[in-house]
Amino acid sequence: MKGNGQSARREAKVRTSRPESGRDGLAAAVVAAGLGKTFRHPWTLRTKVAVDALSLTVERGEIFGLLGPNGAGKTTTLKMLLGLIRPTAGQAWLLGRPVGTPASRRDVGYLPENPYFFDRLTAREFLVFSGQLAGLAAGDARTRADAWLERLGLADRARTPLRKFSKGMVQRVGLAHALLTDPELVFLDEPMSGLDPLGRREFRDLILECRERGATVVFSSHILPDVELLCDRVCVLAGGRVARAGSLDELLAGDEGGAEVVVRGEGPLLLPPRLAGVSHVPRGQHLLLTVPHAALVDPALAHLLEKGFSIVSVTPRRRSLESVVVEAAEQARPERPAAAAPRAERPRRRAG
Amino acid sequence: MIAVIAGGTFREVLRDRLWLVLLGFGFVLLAASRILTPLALGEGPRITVDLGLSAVGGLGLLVVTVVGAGLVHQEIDRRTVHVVLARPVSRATYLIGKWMGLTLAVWTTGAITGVALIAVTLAVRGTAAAVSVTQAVVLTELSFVPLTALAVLFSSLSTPILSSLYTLCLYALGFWTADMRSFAKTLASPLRETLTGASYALPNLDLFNARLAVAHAEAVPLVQMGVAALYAACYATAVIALAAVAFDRREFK
Repeated sequence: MKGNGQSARREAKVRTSRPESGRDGLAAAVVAAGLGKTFRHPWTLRTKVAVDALSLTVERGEIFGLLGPNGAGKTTTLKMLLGLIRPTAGQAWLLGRPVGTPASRRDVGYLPENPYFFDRLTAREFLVFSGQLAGLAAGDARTRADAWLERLGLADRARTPLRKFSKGMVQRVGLAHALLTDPELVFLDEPMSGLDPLGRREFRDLILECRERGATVVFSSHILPDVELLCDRVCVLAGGRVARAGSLDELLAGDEGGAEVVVRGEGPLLLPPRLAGVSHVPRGQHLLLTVPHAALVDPALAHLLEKGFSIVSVTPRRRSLESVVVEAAEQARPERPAAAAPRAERPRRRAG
Repeated sequence: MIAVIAGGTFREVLRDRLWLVLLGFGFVLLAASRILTPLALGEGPRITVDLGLSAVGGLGLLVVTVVGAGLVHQEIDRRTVHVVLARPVSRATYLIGKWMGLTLAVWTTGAITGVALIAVTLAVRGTAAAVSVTQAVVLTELSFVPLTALAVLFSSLSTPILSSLYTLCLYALGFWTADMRSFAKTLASPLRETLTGASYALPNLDLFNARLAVAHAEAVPLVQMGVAALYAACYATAVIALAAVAFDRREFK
């Protein structure tokens, strides 16, 4: 935990000048320095802090996860980086170019959350249009559109208007749109939503392919198993701030230790006092033992073998990414005034 | 890039079922002008041309106010604008593309009904009248240029209903600019300057009116055509520049 805190603080260090070159002499894929966004209601003038002093660096070739509860500021952050929302504080650079300029979006792909595309265009027309907007020649855009539609199993629907597509199919077209030009940097906002398990696996493979060709992928997701499978580093946002940042190993290495042991055997299992804290529950034909501390794992295994139990599996206990996100969200929640009744409480709303 | 966005917009408008309905309505108006001819007591051919020109102008106006006035707002509402602006495209380029695509779609609408009207005029009033009707159709098409720019400006700032309303109001006032200036002269300062300034800010749609020439089957002076084209281009440029400045401040949540 201590390491995580240091890591988050290191990330939170504010840059005030253009980002220096990183690995390979190239600027980092994404640099945000003290980025902030406060929305002001045009009539009531009430302000709402969506992102607050966010600083992060995403190196080239990484798969970087943006996590956090709803309203944590993930989408707002992505939109600020893409110039769709103007930051009220701080600066950011994409591939070394300051955000907000069309040049910063060169070599960048983006899949928005719950994408909605021009529904009177066919899938092919839309992808050709998208490719041309990215600077491809018409012929090249057509070739790439056909290749991507083939790749994503939509070749037979290439000439179908997008309004007739299911949500999952629109999501696939959206991914093709994001990856059409083989961009150096890809932003994916909730890419797995609306996908069946097969689609999710396909998307994961495509994201991994991006890394193989040297591209950087930044994605936000609530589907944490996917994040654990894919990401090199993650940043957990809560209340518009960076709550945790670092590699998965850094974030998940906790003080929990211990292991989960599955055993098979006859008769009841009685544990001696020296194994106090070890608990067990039946799981089908087996028993699942939870060993709370690393120091108890060896004595517990020895005892089990001595009593004639067979070891089926030993799984080290790690903190889950879910617990990291939940913990960050809990910490970011504004403290309740002790005297205030729950009805009087007004939750702080934050834009997502 | 502008051409790509204009092409996409043009396709979107022409695939809108509403556009097809409006086009059908335009042809009904043209047909009605022929059906009403026997009631015109010898003025039949003139009625045909008058009503026909009104149909071309009215249809274009309907496309601008019904389809065009919601064009940008709908893209913001449906978030399709994110798809375009997340590409290396500036907001000004996006707006210019939308305006050009809309103008092209309105011109296409006017051209379809205009060609039908010219053919009918050629049949009932002869070549000279057909030439002046062709010129009147071109002027009508040119009058859509400032109107589409205004529709894009309002659409980028307001809801489709309000945008339609604003565009319609300015269209109506656009035929009164000369009268406004005359009336302003009778007023005291500062009302006089304000009204005069407003009359110049409004689109001067009288410049595109060739009804008189058409009534007498005379050719429209080329100077008038040139001035109208130049005015349309300058007015639309100013409006789109204003729209770009306003659009640049928008947030796309």
